[in-house]
Amino acid sequence: MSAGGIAPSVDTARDAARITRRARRRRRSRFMTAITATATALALVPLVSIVAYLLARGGRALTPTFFTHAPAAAGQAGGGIANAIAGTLLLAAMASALGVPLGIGAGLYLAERRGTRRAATVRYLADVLAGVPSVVFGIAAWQLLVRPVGHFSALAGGLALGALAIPLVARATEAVLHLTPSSLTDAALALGFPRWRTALTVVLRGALPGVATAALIAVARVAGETAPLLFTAFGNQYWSLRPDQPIAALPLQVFSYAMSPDDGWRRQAYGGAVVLVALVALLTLAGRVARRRA
Amino acid sequence: MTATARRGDRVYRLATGACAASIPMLLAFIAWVLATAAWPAFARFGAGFLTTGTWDPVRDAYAVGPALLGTLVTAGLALAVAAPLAVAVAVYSAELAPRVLRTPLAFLIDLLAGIPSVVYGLWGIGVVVPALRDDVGPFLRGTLHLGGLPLFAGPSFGPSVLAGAAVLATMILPFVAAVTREVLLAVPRAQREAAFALGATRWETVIDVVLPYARGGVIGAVMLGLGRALGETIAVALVIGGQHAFASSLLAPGYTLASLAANEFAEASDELHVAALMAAAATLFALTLVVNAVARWLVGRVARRGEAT
Amino acid sequence: MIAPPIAPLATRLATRALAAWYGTRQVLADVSLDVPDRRVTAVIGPSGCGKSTLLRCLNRLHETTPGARATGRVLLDDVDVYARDTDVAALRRRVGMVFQRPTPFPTMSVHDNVAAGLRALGARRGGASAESERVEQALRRAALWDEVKERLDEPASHLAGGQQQRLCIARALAHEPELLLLDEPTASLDPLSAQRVEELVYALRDELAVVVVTHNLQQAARISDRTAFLLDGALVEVGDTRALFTLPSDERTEAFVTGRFG
Repeated sequence: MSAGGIAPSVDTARDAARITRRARRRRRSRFMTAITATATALALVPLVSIVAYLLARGGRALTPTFFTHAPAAAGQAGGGIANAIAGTLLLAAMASALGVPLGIGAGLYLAERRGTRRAATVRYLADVLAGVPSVVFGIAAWQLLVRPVGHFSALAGGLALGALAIPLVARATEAVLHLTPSSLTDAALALGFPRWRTALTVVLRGALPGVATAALIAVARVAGETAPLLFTAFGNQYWSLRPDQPIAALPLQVFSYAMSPDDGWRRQAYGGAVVLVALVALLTLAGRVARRRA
Repeated sequence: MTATARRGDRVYRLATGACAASIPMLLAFIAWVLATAAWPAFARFGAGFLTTGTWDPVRDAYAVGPALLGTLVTAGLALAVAAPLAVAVAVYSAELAPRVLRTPLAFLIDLLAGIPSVVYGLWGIGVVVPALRDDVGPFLRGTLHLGGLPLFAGPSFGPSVLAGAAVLATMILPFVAAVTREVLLAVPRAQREAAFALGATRWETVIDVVLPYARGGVIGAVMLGLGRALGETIAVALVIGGQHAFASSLLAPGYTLASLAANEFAEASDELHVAALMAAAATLFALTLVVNAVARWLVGRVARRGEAT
Repeated sequence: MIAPPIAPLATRLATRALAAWYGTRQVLADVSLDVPDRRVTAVIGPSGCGKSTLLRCLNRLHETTPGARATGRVLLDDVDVYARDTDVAALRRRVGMVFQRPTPFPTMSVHDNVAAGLRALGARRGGASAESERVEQALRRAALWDEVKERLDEPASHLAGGQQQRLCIARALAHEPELLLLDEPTASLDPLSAQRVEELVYALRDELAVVVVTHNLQQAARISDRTAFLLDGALVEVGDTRALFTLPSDERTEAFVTGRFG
């Protein structure tokens, strides 16, 4: 800005133009913020709609009996989803037994051999495997584990879910392990630690909270899948925790009840759906807290 | 290395290697299981299995043309609607929203993304299908006069391809948004600060610095959403109506490969029926495999080119 | 500090035609260096000249990076550590290493960090009390004992930066190595902590062979007896520190130490 002197009007004009441009850019930023905010609000509408709908249809089903009893006969009042909850827990345990060790092992492999061709291939294939629809896993498991035996089983369901979980656990573990600074591994190796000890006592120990969270989240995700269970665990009206028999599972129960003609059962389907959403909310919250702590 | 240490290392290397090998083995295994089980159907019907539409168990005629088309149409529609919205949501919740809102928003999006498909399916039957039948259908035909178009022709009884696409869109929107959000957050803070230091507005930083840097990841997130949409079974099965027919109207019921397999499995009686369902599953498997393989390759290429360092 | 007139020094470690690659990129070429026992040898040179790589080749840490390899010979007490059947873990226990950034094991206590090297193979030699003695001895040698003797069970991450680095030195000293390698040990420390580490390194020269990589020329001049100048992966000149800094034989050395580049 020239204080007096030659051609002050030119400078003022240029400054004015710059100020207008700046104001316009700021307006555009605010405008786009509003647009994306609207998109976000729109995206959250289904959440409200879903919760409201489920509570309206199934709120009445949420009695203490609901959580402690197996289903009652059609037409009879009472009964609940206790067997389905127990079934889901058992399936999750079986899925963990298969998926978590294999997944963590694969994750260790990927984290250590980062940069090698083989690791890149495995990582690529893990992502591809993770993209295979869960229904395909279920059908393959049916062909392999149900068809030859002649009946559905909890074990088949657990194995299908476990297989689903492997690539998820592997990639999540690798991501957490990758955060370990290489200097830490170097320090351990420089002290004469053999590779396996370095991995187990230094790397894994430090990354354990993150890895445990990742594994938990992965298993919770697969436990909510219905499709693979349609072909393996099949569902069960009664209390059964036998691995060689069909077993109830929460998403399965919700699915089959939703399509039944019985009013009471349909209401319980919605009640079960409320429980599912509540569980997801709890797990998501726990995941956020754990992530903040890490 | 002392004997124990060397042995320990060898065991460790074998163990982690075996775990890693389980992944390609699993892929190959699934492919083999499906291929062998589906072979009878493909051998009998040939390529027509994928292109024609007659599905009649009584007459031993099976073809998944409509289901394949339905898979592609529902997923494509859902993605077309959900992807841009999802990116907008991710941008808002990661970059533009007031800081106080960011964590709650992230929680809500993750929550939506984690809700099981059976819940979306229930909501679909209870809310989306009636809405389409009672409000959207008449709106399209009456107010917008689109009833003449083959795309929207015919009565809408409720379950329809459009319902399937709508529910799918609702499902993959939070999923793609959550993944995209993580991708955006992974852009180093230094990049944003450099832009701010140059006087860029928040929006300009997003569109000129953050998004380009994260371009590969965003594309990857969208393709992940596509893969998810192609394979979604339960939610779609509950709202699409289960019709083996090439309908041109979106308001007519239809099928997808996944929902077909789920719906008919319980009643599949003879060997050929089962083989046909297996073939449908194999087709779905191949489809998602191709989509994922291409997507991952694309992401890898763009990421290598676009990212700094 | 002027070193006393030097009788022929015993060589603790010698490299012969050492070369190293990361993939296809060669970072060290034909380095032949003698490291005398009970003396501090400094390795100086501009960024990227291969100083750290050289150090990492001496305890065979270099090859743990995927795609990295090395050729040539490294003779520790006249035995080639790159020979086929070398026990690499044993080698690394004879050669201690301290890194640029302090890297205590975050989940372990102060005591356990120092003992980590002793437990590297799992067996607690001689029991818990013998181990505690060795931990105390190492902490004393690292001039850290007085500051942490009341805090042995606290997590190592509670210590300040300079203390953490001395802890890492104690950890490296715990299994009584014959050779200590330090890769820019004071680079991430404040001046006061850096000074204490320098005093410590200088005091260690009576006990073992020390190699220090540093880009701080004054530091090299202060604490080392011999200096090696590395440029683009090749050893340009090596000799008595005072002589190299005041009357270098090679003009490139002269350019570097007078600050004309690097």
